[in-house]
Parts: sequence; structure tokens; C-alpha cells
Amino acid sequence: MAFTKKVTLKSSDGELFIIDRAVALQSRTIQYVLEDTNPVDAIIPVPAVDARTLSKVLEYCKKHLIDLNTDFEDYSKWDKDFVDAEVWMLYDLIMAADYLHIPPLIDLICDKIASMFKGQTPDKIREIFNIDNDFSKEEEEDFKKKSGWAFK
Amino acid sequence: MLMVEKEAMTLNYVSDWGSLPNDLLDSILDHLVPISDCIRFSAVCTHWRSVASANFRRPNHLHHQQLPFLMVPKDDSKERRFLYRVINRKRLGEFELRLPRNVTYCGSSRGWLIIIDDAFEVSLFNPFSRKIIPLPPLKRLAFEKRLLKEYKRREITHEKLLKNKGRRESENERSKRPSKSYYSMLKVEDMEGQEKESESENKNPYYPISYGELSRSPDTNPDEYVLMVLYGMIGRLAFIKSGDKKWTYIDKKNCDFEYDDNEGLHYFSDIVYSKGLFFAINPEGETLSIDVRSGLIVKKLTPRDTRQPLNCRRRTYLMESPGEGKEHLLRVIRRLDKDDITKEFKIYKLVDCGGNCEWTEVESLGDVTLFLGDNHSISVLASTSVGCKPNSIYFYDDFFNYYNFYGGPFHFFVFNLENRRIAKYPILDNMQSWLMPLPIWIVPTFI
Repeated sequence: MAFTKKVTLKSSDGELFIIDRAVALQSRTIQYVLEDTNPVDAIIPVPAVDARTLSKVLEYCKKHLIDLNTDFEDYSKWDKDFVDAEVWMLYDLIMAADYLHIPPLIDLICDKIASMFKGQTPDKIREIFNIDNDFSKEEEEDFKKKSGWAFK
Repeated sequence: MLMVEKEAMTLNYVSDWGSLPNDLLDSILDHLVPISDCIRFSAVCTHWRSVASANFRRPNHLHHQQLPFLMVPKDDSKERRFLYRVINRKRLGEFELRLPRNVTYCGSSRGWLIIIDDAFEVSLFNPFSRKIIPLPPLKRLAFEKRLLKEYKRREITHEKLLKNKGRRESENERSKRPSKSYYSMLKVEDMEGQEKESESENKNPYYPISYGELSRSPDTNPDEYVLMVLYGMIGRLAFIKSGDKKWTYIDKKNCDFEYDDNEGLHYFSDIVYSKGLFFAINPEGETLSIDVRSGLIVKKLTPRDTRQPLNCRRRTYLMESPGEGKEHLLRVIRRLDKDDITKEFKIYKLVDCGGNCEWTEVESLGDVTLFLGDNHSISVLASTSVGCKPNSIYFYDDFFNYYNFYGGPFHFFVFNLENRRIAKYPILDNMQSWLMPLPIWIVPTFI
């Protein structure tokens, strides 16, 4: 059986990425596609992810390809720098990681987002993440009354 | 040209954090440890709130990672409390308990307060969600009823006295009061009605329930929790399962061993729930395991330690050690001097030496931090809790000579096992009334 060493991914904006199969296999979504169809030299479309985000995700996958010469400390430093990104970039990354199904990357970004929430007021979180406050006045009053202690 | 196209493409992508998929929001919540952060998370928008509510109803939610707050009565009001976070010495929100009947707040477990009224009817009350679970009344012994009446009468008389003469009393008046704690002086009767000297450890003002321990939270397991209480003047045990119509009282006949004390099963100091079983300890270090899962099986784990004479100037606590270790129970002995000032702590681990269990003293708690209280104690792993000092015991002024206590600052303390020193920090400048209820450690729950 022919076994492709390289895989080609096509981003939503049409850019092609030729990568090692082992790198691509870190995405469970791509793994399923490869197992199901085993496309020889075919192009796998990734319609939900644009080129900029895809290249960043692939950068992560390449780094996290099991490398016996790299110890845990190296990863944590590298990971920290990797998610030191703008809020919109984190959004694109987490959506891409979710679509491509890469659990350690999802975990890494969630940890980063959680750290951005620490000690912030709901108002500040809404401002940072550009979220509309869709609570009614009554709901907000009620919540403040019950959980006011958490806001000080 | 290509660059321009790329810019245009990305502009089409608008971040929509507000409607992030549920499983991603769940993952984010799993990384938020202090419950206050989770509550603020849930106040951002309706979608996030619904995800957070569902997340917190999952049974595997890590409640033990939350640090307890100290719920402190505010000034002279019996109903007002404020929450105090000891690790950063911060006073948080104030709230009104506002329960309809005249109740006593006896302690907390898994975020719920255990309350009891004058008719000995017990309830669980969650001060964060304001949910109440009424439970049937506990049985009292005849002498307990009589003494409680006497106690109430004295309380009212003293309250009047304080009101009339102002909060500060002259030295002269103070000396008229009994110098010993009221209840340690009382003669109590045993189950058969015979009078005998109370030999229980020096206790605080009378609380009908000294400790209440829930096996699970009624928030997450409304149909499968058990509440065990250590109650009454002679420290007896009783439990109730969710849905039960009456309490089950634990007595000699439930033991699978010959109970050597013909007085019956009482004078316990503390109870704890750990790994499917309840455990109870008495001041002499005798430890029982109580299995209520099917039927009721009481086993003796350790015998009485007769080497140490019974002493009023100490308190015994039984706690669960956090983490997965096999040695999961801790016995903590707090020693006080004649003025009820805490001098020292001794810590023991329950070690299983081939079927025989033994309390073995340990010098260090390692990564563990204890929050000790006269009505509820909690242990946490310091490494998962920001700002929490490892190998330390946090405790507060819960052990004052009841009738001699007037005003004065109210403190919390940190005992460091490494250098065996105690640090002291004020919480309130002035504890206004000697009638003030005891503070309670409470782990906030999510609504």
C-alpha cells in the first residue's frame, strides 16, 4: 500500500501547506480524513481555517511532534510564548484547534484565556473580549445581590 | 495585492467570544480555580452563564480546590455576616442571613450551613443560593431540654445587663461572673438519667450541633447525600440520608465490637467524611469508622490512648488529608494555656500496619494547609491554591473563655509547622458582644 509521507492542506483562502504526515496526524480531524480515504497526493481542504491561523497551528504541531531531545521545560516556555498573542488571534486559534481537534492545543489556549480572566470584573472581561451584556437589569441586580461578594 | 486580499479575508472573521461553543467554555472553566473567578465568568453574558451553571452541576467538580472563606458576624448584629479571605486578609461582601425563625448556625459543610432552631429542627441552608432543605427534628434528652432553657434564660439576662450598662463593664462586675465556662461546670446526666461530671473537652458556648458533615453536596447530588451530626451536650452521633423521614441515632448496638465503655457512644470531638465512610474521634484518640451505605456498620480503628490524661486545655480535630494517598486521615491536637491561648499543634496520620491502625505523629504537613475551626475544618493542597502557605494551620479566636470575653480585637492566626511559630492578624478591631456567634469556615458554592 502506498504510504504518503507528505500531506497537502488547503486553507480557506486557498493557500497550500505541504507538511509531514506525522505533523498532520496531530489533528484528529485530519487523521480521520486520512484513515477514511487515504488520499494519495490529494489536497485536504480545511475550509474553516485561514492561512494565517493554519500556519500558526501547524507551527504548534511541528513543535509538539514527539522529540525525545526536548524536555518538558522547553515546551512550557515555548507554549507560553506561543499563546502570548492578541485576543482576536487567540479566538482564531481556539476555533481552528477545535475544528481540527487538537486537544493539547485547545487546553493550552483555554489555560491562557482563563489566566486573562483572573481577578477581572465582568465589565472588564466584556471589554477585552468585545462581548455584549445581554442580561436584563433585573437579572443583573439579582445576581449582584446573591453573588456580590465575588465582585469585590 | 496579495497582502490586501489577506487583510480583507481576516476582516471577515469577527471574533464572537460571546457564543463560543459550550465545550470550549467548559474547558476554560476547568482552568479557573477560585470560585469568585467562575462567578464573574458567569456574569459576563447569558450564554456563558448557562454553560457555567451546567458545568458546576457536574459531580466531578473540584470543590476541594476552593479555599474557604471565614464567615464572620458583623458587629453586634446576629444576622449580618461578612466573608473574609484569610490568605490576602481581604474583607469581602457583607450579607444578611435573614432566616425567618430564631435559629443557631452550627457550622458548614460543602458550602451549606447546618442550622437548628429552638425546637431542635435541623435545616441545611446555602447562604449563596439561599436554598433551604428542611430536615426532621433531632431527639433531645430530658436534661438537655432543661439545661437549654436555663441557658436561654441566662443569655437573655446577660444581654439585658449589657444593654443597660453599656458594652464595657467595670472590673468589679466582671469579677462577679463565673470564671469557668458555663457548660464545663455543669453536671450532666447520662442516658439513664444519672448525674455525672462532664469530662468533655472545653467547648465554646453551647451549640446544639457541634459539627455537621455532608457526604456530598445537595447541589450536585440532591438525592444521595448523607448528613452526619455530632450533637447534644454529650457529643452523640446521628445521621440522615436525603429523603429520610427521621434521624438514625448511632449507639452501642450498632458497633461490630464490644464497646468497653458502659456509658454509651458519646463524647466525640469531631467527625469527617472521607472516601465513602464517616469517621468519628473522641478526645482520647479512639477512632471509629461508620459505614452508612447499606445498613449501619460501626468499626473501631484505633483504641483509646490512655497514656495522655484527659485535659480541658486541648481540642481534637479529625480531618481528611487532601490528595490520593492511602493515609487519608489526620488527627490534630490543639493545645492551649490556662488563658485559652493556643500554644501548639500536634499532627498525627492514621497509619495502617497490616489491619491495625495507629496514629503516628508527623512533623510536617508537606504541601497541605489546614483551616481549623470549632464548627468546621477544611484541608487543601497549597500548591493548587494561590497565596496559601503550605505546611501551615489557619485558625481563629474560637476558643475564648465565654463568660470573660468582652470586646477586644478578633484575630486569625497562622501556625507554621516549619518553625512552629504562630502569626497573628486582626480581622475585627472590636468584637462588640460576647454573644456574637462563632465565625464559620465556608467553601462558597456556585449558584
